[in-house]
Amino acid sequence: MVQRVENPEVQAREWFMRVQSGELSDQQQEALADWLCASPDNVEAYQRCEAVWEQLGRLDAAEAPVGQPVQSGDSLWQRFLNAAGSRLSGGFSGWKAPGLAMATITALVFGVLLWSGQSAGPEALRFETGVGEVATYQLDDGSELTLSARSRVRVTLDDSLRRVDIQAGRGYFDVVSDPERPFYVYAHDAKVEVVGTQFDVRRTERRVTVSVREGIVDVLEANPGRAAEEQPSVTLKAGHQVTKVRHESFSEIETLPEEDVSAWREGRLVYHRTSLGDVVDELNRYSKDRFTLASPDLEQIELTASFQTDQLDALPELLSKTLPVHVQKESDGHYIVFSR
Amino acid sequence: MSNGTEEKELRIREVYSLYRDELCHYLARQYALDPAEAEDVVQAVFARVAETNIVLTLDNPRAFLYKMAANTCIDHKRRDKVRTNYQTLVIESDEERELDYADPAREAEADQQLRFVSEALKTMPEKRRRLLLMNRLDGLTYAEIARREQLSETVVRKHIFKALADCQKALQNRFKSN
Repeated sequence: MVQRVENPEVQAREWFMRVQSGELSDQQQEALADWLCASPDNVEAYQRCEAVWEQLGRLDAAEAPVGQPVQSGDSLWQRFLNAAGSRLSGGFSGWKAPGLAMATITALVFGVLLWSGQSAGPEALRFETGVGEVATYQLDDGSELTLSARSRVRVTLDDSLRRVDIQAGRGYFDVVSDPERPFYVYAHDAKVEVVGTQFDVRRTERRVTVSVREGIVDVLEANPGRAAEEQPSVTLKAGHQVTKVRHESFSEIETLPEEDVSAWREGRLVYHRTSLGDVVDELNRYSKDRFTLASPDLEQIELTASFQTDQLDALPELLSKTLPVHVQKESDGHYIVFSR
Repeated sequence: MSNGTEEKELRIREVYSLYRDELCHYLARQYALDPAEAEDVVQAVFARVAETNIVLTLDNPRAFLYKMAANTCIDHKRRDKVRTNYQTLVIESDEERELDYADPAREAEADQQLRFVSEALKTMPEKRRRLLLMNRLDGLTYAEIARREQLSETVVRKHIFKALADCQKALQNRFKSN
């Protein structure tokens, strides 16, 4: 019999993915046990997969402060210590002092309880809309969330925090004020902090755009490697809009008529100096006949325009007339936008 | 890594208390060990088990544990010693563990790893990254991702496999250069 010599890294990754997907039969579990016991190299390779997985998970944890600013490099452990009281705030050096040993152990137990509570914690709600569908949801705290077409969010409400993660598309928020429970919206590496106000957050492939209809919101960079107070941020008032490209800094603040912020809820898509890439991204959420840009440089063309969502048929012609492009209809109904 | 170490240990202890007795009985019966020997081997099994998080990831790790127990037992017999040198998580004293968690070097190392993984994410193709994060952060299964992205499950797996490989490579290159 020919023995196939496989790279433990590759095998480890395959096993790891199967374990993660929770699909192992008893027989496969036994095969996994055999594989692990066969060589310490296998165990190490598997551990490296887990290390990667854990760091990826911290990415989320760091972006998800539990009601308090996250220090740079904070472990959950240290966050528990912070929560356990200022007497431990002396930092690492103080921990080994005998007088503190007991307090540290208490904090450890406290931390474990806290964490298990959190992982079992409030269940996230998920909302998703289909092509051309706009839907409004009332959240338990009385706030309202309107989702644009083909959008997806995850909502977590608990006693200390209200959090929405925009995973795709666009949402308009009418937030009921609650100083005890800040309302956070996350999209890519941008974080919006509000107390009570109305605003719009739009996520495209690489960009997040936040526009405010009423009140004031803070938009922060959500960079896991930095402390909350060191994150770049901008403050937006009614009629302000800011854009952030993923991993880049915030754009200049732009102004727009306040009523335009929520115009899409009434079936009007309004764009102020928006890139064609983003416009097409959104149009494709509303229309089954998708638009494709023939070349990447077209994405950067800026336009200011407004469309009725129920009159998107006129769009190809409109684009051809107002922009240096021509739009070609394919046999399958899709449109391709070429530069002219 | 210090993140989650305490939770991991708590849960391993849970699994341990859940299965210890039946594993001891099984080993004693199957391999004709006396109760003290069986107990030692089960300790060694859990030391092995604690090297990875597998047992915490499986819904029903019974088959896995039995096989680990059998393999461990065979290894021990082969080496003709049942007494183990394994430094087990389960039997470490509280004080030892406490110092372990508080070690700033480990914190720093974990942070460094996080940075390399973030870097790897930034440089990999967008689709690869997106599918990985849908799996890891949004908790979607391969099948769910396949449905949303209108891809086959096999293709989704391949993307995620490559994404993990990229992240791993980033970590390993780093270790080498240290």
